[in-house]
Amino acid sequence: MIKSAVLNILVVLFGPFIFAGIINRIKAMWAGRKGPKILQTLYDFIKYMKKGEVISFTVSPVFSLAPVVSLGAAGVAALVTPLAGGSAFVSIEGAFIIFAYMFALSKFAMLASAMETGSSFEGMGAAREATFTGFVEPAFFMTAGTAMLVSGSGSFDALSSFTASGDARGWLLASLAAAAFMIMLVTEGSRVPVDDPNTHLELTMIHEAMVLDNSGPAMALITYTANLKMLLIAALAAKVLIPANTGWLLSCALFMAVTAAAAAAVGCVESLVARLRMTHVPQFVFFMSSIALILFCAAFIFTMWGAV
Amino acid sequence: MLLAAGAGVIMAGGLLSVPVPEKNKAAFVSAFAFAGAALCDFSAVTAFGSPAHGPGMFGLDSLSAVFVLMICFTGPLGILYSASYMKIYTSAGRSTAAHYIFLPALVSSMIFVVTARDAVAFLFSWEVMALSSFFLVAYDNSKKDVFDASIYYLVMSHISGALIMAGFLTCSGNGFSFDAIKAWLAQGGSALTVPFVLLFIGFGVKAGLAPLHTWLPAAHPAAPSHVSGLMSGVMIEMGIYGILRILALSPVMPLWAGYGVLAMGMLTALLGALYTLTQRDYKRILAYSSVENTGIMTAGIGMGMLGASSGRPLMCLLGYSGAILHAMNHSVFKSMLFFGSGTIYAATHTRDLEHLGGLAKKMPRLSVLFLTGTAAISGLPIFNGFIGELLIYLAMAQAIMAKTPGLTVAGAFSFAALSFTGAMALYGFIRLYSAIFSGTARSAKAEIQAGDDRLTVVIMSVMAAVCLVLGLLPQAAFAIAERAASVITGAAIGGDFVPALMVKLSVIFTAAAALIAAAALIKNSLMKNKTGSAATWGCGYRSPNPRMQYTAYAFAEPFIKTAEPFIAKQKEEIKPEGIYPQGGSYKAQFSDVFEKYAVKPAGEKTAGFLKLFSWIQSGKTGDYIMYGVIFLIAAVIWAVAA
Repeated sequence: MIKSAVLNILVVLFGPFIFAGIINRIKAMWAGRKGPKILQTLYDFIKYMKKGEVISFTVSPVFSLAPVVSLGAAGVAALVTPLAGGSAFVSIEGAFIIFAYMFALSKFAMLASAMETGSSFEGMGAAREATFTGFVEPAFFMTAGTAMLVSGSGSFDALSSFTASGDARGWLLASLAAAAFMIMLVTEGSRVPVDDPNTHLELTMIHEAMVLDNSGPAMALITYTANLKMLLIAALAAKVLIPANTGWLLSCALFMAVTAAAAAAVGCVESLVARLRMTHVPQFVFFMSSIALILFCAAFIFTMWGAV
Repeated sequence: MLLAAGAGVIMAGGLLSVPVPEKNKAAFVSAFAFAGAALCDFSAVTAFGSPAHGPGMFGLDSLSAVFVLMICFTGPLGILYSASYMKIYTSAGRSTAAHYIFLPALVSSMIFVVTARDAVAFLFSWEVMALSSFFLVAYDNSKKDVFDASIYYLVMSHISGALIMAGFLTCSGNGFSFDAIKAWLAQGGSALTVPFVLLFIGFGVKAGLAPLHTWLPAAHPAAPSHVSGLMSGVMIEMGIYGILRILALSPVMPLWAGYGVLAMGMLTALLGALYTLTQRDYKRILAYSSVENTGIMTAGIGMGMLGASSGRPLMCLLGYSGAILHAMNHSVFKSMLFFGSGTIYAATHTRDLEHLGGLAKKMPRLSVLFLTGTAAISGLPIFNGFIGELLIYLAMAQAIMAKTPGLTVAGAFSFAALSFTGAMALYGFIRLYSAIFSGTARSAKAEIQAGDDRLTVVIMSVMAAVCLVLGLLPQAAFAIAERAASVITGAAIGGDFVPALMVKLSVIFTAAAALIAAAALIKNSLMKNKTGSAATWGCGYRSPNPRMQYTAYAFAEPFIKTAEPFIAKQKEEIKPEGIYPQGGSYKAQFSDVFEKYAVKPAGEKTAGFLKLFSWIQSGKTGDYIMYGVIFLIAAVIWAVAA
């Protein structure tokens, strides 16, 4: 599948910029503005890459290494994630686990770099990020486990098995799983209602607070990585929703449509909903756990007592 | 034979070191240890091919061999590391003669434990191990907390020893050799379950399974760091070895045993990880992390047992080999982190995270190595920790896909629980690393002279390299673990599933690591002349000071708040009062729920009961003579009557 591979290289390279572009466009539309170009984030990326960097006196070399490691880890996650056309670059057993642990490695690097600066804002952001994304983890694994139960396979292809039977029960499971991934997307991507990327008060920030001391190319890499991660999670939702027997061209088109819809959804939520109070964020994340639990119970009942 | 010679050489090093002057002692003992370990390694490697073992009291099979390799890697490095750590005592004029007898004795007794083929030999070696480690923990016994901790440890290790002894007694109907025990256990029924439960709990205490893990966070901080490293990295895994050995001697266990072991393991892992976030003593954090890792290994064993009893060989292989691999990995990175923490203690004389900070600038190499260790122990990819956990995850995935109600539910929930353990461990270790090394010094204690300890750096580099190599070549690591697992399952399971996966992972990880390293180098060289520096952004505040940094407690706070029901938190809060608010203090402390509500009350009850007999110890010589006379008369009567 050379055409898939070529297309997906383009998806990984430019998809994150477009994903962010769509979010920003949607937000501008709600605000009654014309909004930036769809590829504005790409232009910003290029601009940042040309700049120099200012780093704190306090940091050790870990600080400048971290954005590269974080991006590399997200890149490996992209390698195992099914993208356009429904296939991953590398289809591998246990892909869920590798995916989650690559995200963890990426997070580990960014948390370490945030703490390097000795800034209390960044400590605050790092602590929140670690807590909230920590609660996502079991829900993600529960969702993954359900997919394995339904499909009998441990690779990401398992995700498309919810809709394999084509009946209403299968679609119910698929939509629950997609909803779980959307909550994961806003939590991992630090978007409203978990975190507001537009906020200008350090005390209320999560992801933005962690990168207060990053600048120039490092900042460019960090932004790209954050958008890439959101795109990858949206790709999981797409994999759930697109039936496995769809033709290649249609499947690619649906992939684009679903990820764009995910971005649009993020943009709409961001325009219409206020950020949650920090103390209520865990409850929101536990919502994903509940969905995952319901998903598992439903799938369990369906598989034990009647086919899905 | 070669193995016994090797272990003998290690022990002889300790005995011969008595006349050696203090400053050369460590070098002398470690020279013997390395030589002995080389002999043991050689015989362990040759034993991998041969499945059977000799008829003697000691012998090697693949399972023993893996553990011998672990002991012989970490043991001598630990002894070598003591050369650096014990300086803080020798410079104060303390004698280390006894210490250097017990240290090699601990290492060689562990070799005997894992090679024993007879319950009596096993128990004897076990006792030597328990006692020598007790004396090592108690080295600094002029401090009251150290003394108390070592007594606590002694008691717990004897509870463990007593249970193990009882366990072996209940299955020794045919004799004490392992072959005889195997024949006895093969009867099944209560002849199998009673000894298994006793032995599992006994070994579980040693391994640190909740709720009997409480000796770990007490003993590890008290012991000198190389001793904690050896105990935490290697000795507690003797408990895991014991469980695996019993399984190797047992026929297929009933399903409930597998569920029980899995549940114990998951509970332990979750609790251990949770408590790493609440502690502020870095050695206690490492001790709780050992509890967590023991839990992960035990969960792997549980999965293996479930696979065996439900007739799923792949799940069985994944569970057992995952547990063994995780034990191997843990012995490397945990000891490494303890050695690193010892060097931090030697430099700063504090174990309190809130007093540290900024050491990355003072000890640049140590900080990078320590970070490597934290990444490995958090189970992050490209390091070895990931591989063991991955196998255990895959075993759970097999259970989910088994589509039987029990296995699916157990698999799914432990799948989620293990991932949550991993998330907490990552959080806890970022906290540990950053509180010690990042930012700036939080107190004068951390304002030390810059400079790395060369010996520590060399030792930790070797261990970090092993972490990386095992992570990048998981197929090699798995091949070893698979051999050992085949001792438990009775026959090699083989199959292409895991080796093929491991090769794929090896390619991906190696490529990724190379690319990341290249990208980092390119970025560094391109940015060299374009990088300026400034103070950390403090919202425009012009004169930040170290006290304004985030504290280790604050870093864990969002999590602790959510998890409060599972943590026994005591706080003392005095609010500032008056028109011009003054005073005010806040103190929070976390204790272990099991320690507080189970172990301590049980200990107090037992002590209260034993007080009833305290009149026996009257302190009067006359009474004691009388006891002797009564005993003699009773003995004579008994002899005559018989």
